[in-house]
Amino acid sequence: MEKRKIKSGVWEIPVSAKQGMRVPARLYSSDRLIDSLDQGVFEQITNVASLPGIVGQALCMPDGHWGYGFPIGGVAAFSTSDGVISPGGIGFDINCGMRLLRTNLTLEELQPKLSQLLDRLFKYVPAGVGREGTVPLKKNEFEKVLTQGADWCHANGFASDSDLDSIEQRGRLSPADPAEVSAKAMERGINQLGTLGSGNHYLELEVVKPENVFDQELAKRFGIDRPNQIVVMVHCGSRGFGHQVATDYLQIFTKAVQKYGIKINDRELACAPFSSPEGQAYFKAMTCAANNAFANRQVITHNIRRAFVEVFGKTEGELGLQTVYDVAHNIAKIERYSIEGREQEVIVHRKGATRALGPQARDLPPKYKDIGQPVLVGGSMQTGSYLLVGTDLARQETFGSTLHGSGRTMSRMHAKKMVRGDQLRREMEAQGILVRAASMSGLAEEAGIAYKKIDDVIDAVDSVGISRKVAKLLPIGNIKG
Amino acid sequence: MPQKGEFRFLDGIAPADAAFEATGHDLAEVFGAAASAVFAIIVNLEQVRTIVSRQVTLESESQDELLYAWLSELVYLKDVHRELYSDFDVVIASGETLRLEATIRGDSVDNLAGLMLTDVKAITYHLLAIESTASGLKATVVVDL
Repeated sequence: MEKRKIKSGVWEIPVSAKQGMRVPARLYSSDRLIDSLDQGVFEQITNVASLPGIVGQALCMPDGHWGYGFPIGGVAAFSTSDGVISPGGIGFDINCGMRLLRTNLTLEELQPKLSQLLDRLFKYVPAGVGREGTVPLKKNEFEKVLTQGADWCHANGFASDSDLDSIEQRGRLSPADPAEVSAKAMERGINQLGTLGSGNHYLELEVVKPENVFDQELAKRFGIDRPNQIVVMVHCGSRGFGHQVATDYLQIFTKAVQKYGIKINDRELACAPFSSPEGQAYFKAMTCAANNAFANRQVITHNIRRAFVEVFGKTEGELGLQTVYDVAHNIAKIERYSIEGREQEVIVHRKGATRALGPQARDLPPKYKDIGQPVLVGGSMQTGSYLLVGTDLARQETFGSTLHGSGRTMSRMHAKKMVRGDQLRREMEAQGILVRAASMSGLAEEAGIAYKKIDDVIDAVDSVGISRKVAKLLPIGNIKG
Repeated sequence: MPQKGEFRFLDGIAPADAAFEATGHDLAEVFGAAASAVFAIIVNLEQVRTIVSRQVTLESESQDELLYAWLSELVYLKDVHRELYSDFDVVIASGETLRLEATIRGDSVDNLAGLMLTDVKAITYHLLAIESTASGLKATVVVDL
């Protein structure tokens, strides 16, 4: 498919490339990565560019890869007055996202208790298929989780004031309305609060080595303030609840595209006008799922703290277990941007892409107002993750968005043919990474060889300037669902 | 004994997830094979005893919408009852709408601890299709893991 480089790190596919495209598509990448992009990404991002009411450009981040509906790594903004909302632009796992906790511990202090700590974390944070949550809830209480998100956790002793100050939108989005959620979604979600799930979800202990801190000042502001400091990263979302909401509304939207005469190139892009009854109902249900995910990661955080306190025999304060940030990478949100010289309200879809606010942005918590938002990027469990900071250029170019991970290059099936889970576990232990996994097969699917090199994709966004490197986080212990 | 449907996994489609083809002489066989494929992603089906049984009844106006509803219903039942299924008796009747009646059998996840491979979390519409072949019907399905 025709593409031209419009500046260093950015390629554009013109509207002439495919019949029906309403806006160009832009790929953020690097000379090294662009030629390795799946053909499916080109097809999918141009399908997105063909949806009604899209504004600016359909965007794909450097970790982009073939998904369904949107590519993973896709970002698109639609007018709230005449654009659409599509579950295929958000993903089944609504508000799948990342949380980063800092600690006062160093690698030297943690190492003697690493195995014991992983065992305790594996016990307190249920992972894998069919595991039940740690907070039994009645229906009326679960509805409060859906409307209040992390605020519910705060009211029930699972969150501190500081936690709420360190979550995107303080972990509570509106308009959440459980009346727009099916009984099936309620049933799937009610027993899963505090669970990690499976697939690529994980809880990871990581070390920040001095040579991997790229901006000392910003790192310090984000709580990375000592050599070989231990941090904890959590990657999970809204579990069965979010998946059921997406499943339910995809069926409703399949009929809505006929009702509203919307042409789509992939049935997974089923959508409805944002202002329609169907579009508004989905937005309210999706927001419930987003709040559920914020609460899920908060309850997991509570249980991580319990494990650390018990293993080290110190208080939470002494251990310094504070949330650096918590941010979604599968979500749709109403935001305002200047587009073609005009301030517009849009519904921004991010599917495998992270909000990345620069300094002075309205939605930043006060403590990060002058420096920008921490951006959490999860790499493969063998190669490491990154802490970045948002920039104002992202607001100007990418609807305040950047990448979310490494990006897959090898299918799960192929990865399992290349490596066995038990062999991978031994390799990782030889590398100094201890693993507790619910499934050895699932572990093999997540091998480092299945992903792009995290350093390459990070360099791509850092070079173009839609976020900037602060520190690289190396894994030393992994709980895998 | 009627010949049962079959399935095979497809590589190179949706690399972060899983895709399969299910084939059979008729729609009921294809639906049974597709259900087997979904649970074969989660566990080795030979390890799942058939000690619990549930009934499923669904209606739809089209074959592929019925397939989506059928497989999504199985994912929902798996999560809510914390069970995995390995045996599917499916009957599909044509009338003004298509009507599916099925008996599914399986076991609790508690009895399968340590044996599960990964989870199937949802069924997608991406490339979802049912088409005729020389020997019957073929469905293509991509699932979210």
